[in-house]
Amino acid sequence: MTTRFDDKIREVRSGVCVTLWPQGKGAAWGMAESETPVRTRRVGDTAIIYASDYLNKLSGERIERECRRQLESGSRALVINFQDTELVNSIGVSILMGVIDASEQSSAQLIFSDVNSHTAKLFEMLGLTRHVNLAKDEAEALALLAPQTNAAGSPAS
Amino acid sequence: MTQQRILSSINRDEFVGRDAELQEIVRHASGLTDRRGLVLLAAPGVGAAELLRQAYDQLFLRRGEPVPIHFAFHPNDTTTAGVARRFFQNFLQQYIAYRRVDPSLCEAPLGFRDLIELALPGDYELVTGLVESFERERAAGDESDFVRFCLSAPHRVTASGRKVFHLIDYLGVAGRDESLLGRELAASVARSGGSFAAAGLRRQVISLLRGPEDGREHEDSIHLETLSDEHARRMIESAARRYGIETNEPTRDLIVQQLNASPYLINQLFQAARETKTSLTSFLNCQRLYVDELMGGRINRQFTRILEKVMPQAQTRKTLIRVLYESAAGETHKASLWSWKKRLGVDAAEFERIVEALHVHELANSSAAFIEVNVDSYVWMDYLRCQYRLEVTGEARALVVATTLLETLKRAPQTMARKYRRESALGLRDLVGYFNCQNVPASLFHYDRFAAEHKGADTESINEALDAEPDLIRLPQIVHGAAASAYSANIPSDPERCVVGHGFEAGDYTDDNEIVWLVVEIESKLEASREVTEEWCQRLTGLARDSGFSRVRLWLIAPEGFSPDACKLLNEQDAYGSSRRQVELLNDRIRSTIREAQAGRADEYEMVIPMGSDTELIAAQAVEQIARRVNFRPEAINQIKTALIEACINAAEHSLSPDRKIYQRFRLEDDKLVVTVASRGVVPAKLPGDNGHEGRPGSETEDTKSRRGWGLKLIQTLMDEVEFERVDDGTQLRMTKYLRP
Repeated sequence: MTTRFDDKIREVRSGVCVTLWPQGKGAAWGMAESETPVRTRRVGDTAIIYASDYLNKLSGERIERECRRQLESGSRALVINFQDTELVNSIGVSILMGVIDASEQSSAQLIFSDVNSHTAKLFEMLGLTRHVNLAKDEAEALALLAPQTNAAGSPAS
Repeated sequence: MTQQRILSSINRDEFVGRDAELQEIVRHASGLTDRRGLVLLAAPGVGAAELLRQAYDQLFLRRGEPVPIHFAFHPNDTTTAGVARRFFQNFLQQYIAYRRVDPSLCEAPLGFRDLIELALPGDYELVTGLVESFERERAAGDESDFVRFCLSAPHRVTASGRKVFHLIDYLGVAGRDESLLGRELAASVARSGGSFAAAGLRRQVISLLRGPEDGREHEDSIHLETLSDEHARRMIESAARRYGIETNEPTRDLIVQQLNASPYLINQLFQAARETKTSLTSFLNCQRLYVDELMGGRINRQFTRILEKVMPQAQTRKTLIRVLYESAAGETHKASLWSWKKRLGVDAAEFERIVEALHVHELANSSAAFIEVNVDSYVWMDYLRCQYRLEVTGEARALVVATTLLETLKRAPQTMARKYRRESALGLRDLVGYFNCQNVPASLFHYDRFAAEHKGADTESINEALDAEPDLIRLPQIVHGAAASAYSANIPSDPERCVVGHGFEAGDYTDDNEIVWLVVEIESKLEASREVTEEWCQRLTGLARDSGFSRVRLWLIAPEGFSPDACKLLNEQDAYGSSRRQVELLNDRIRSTIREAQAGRADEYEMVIPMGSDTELIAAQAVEQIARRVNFRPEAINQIKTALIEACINAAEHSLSPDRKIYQRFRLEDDKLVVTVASRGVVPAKLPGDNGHEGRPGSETEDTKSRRGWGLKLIQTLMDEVEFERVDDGTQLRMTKYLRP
């Protein structure tokens, strides 16, 4: 597995140690994570949101919040890029269902890109692929969206 | 080299079957435990008195501290002062014998003057002082002061710096005065700071050591049960050699069975054989001697002595024999206490004493409302029957002797047959006792399937096929097993061949999961017929109905299995049917699982993580490293990691865990990785009953937009086997992934 994931494990390990301290006085890992912004960029009317290495409740909710923000600010399509995502859990996946709902309500298109094979199988097992298309990479995702969206754009954050 | 005998009646090498207990006493004497006392709770006639004497000899010959002191209450002790005096002299004599390293002094007829003369110079002052005080107290004429002084001898010796270990034999305690004295002696030993081993009848000894107001347990205790058949046989061989009595294998076996492997009774019989010069080489000789003993020998005197203590007046004793015999002859062998009291015609206090004495000697078992005669002892029943015929119905003695001899001779082959049946029985009570939610191949409980698939195959092939069998039965957890005969007298089977097992399905302690397994091993030379099978199904169903069992599982076992019609009937009744072969295979499987679990494994890893803060990632990384060691494919490793993460999340979300920890175990086996995830706390309301049999995620019926609750289903999809295991608190999920090339 990648070095980035090992770094995350080290972060978690420090979090485990920290939990020995009284709650609220040093739960550093959770705090640091909650402050990490979700990386996004805009390509025309399309917002590309980058999922983190572990899709769980916290990171899932951050993605959901960012997606809603993008839709409210006029994005006509969303691409969630899972290129960094090595592990997902069912809570994280269930939150993606909220993103699917939100984009359907805004009549926006939603595509998942760069999903590794294991995660793709999980999405399939959990029925997500009945509601969202998977693209090999961002280029393929944008190509699928091209007829409806403007190809020009720049990173939003 | 044979150990020298001091107080013991037989040589150490002839004293069989009690090595562990002997060691335990010596351990206590050596101060290797933190309890000051050891109580031996003895069934009647199991040789507890000899055990204490053997322990004394061992401690005496071992030397060093503490000084062993043995004292036995005798049934013939008449006065409290007499017992106290005997204790005092006994104590002093054994103390001096030990100090002088002269075992012959222990039981020599010595007076106090002799003892003073024999005391070592270092003990002279102590011994003289004790004797003088003794004489002074005796002359003063106050019995209670005198008794108190006698019992305080250990205290005076320990105060002079000597350690003492008491071996107190309470088996002979009979009356109320002796009981009080026994308690006072225990208290005196306690006050002296000495340690002790005390043996007594198991239904009495605790109350002899402590008053009813003292509920604290200061002592360790061990139970002395009857000898095993094997040890009893060895004891008979020793006794035969010692007394020069000829025996053979069948007669030795008969004696063991008939005397319930009781060392006391065996010894009595062999002493009688020695006196009458009877060789015990035929059943006829054995039974002649036995009947003589019953009618007027040692065995007779033993029971008569107890009954005389229980009921001193001849006329009321006769009534007691009548009541006992008639209760024993009844179907349930028991009667209400009220009816007994009425028939005996004694006042409440006297009645209570009688019932207590019968209970203590295990001639009867009393409860709050009923009294049940102990019919398990051949000897007691034979004695009672003879006494009833002689004393109550007034039959001629010659007739009673003759018919008893005839009956015991007729019974002998049955007694032996019963022993052979017991030895060849499958041990159902033990087997069901091992049921603990294991998953086992269903064909082991369905003879028709087993016969169709495995008949004629060798054990190895059958086991391979069973390993691959997809249809599994999850056994209940059986928490209590007993012979069916303990529930009903209407079950025509040996106790070990028909058992009742109470338990819970899925090991979940709820009303809904409560179940009773009724298991019987039926006799049939060929495949059991439909008629026999139906008869047993009806019997067991009747037992369930009469006992008020709401949910039952019938399991019939026949040596050669069941005929096709019988199998059909079993299937119709949703009952299980197995051949002996199937049960043996099941037994092997269950025991090997238990052995494995007990032995532990070298390739097993354990990990405890706190809940929350994404700690499941640490577990996931650990399991990845472990899975890599046996070359799981990357895809399978990802599946295991995801399943583990889901299990951790489930544990954290649903358990209301008090310690907020997740306990994990990873066990590598030849072809699989077994991951166990446990947490304390609340059991989720709905757990799947079977391994992976719930709906799968993503199925057509699934509402994929329901946001949560996918975890378990995901685990079931990702892993090959998923099972909730029974734990007392919280949940434990076991997940297995097989290694595929």
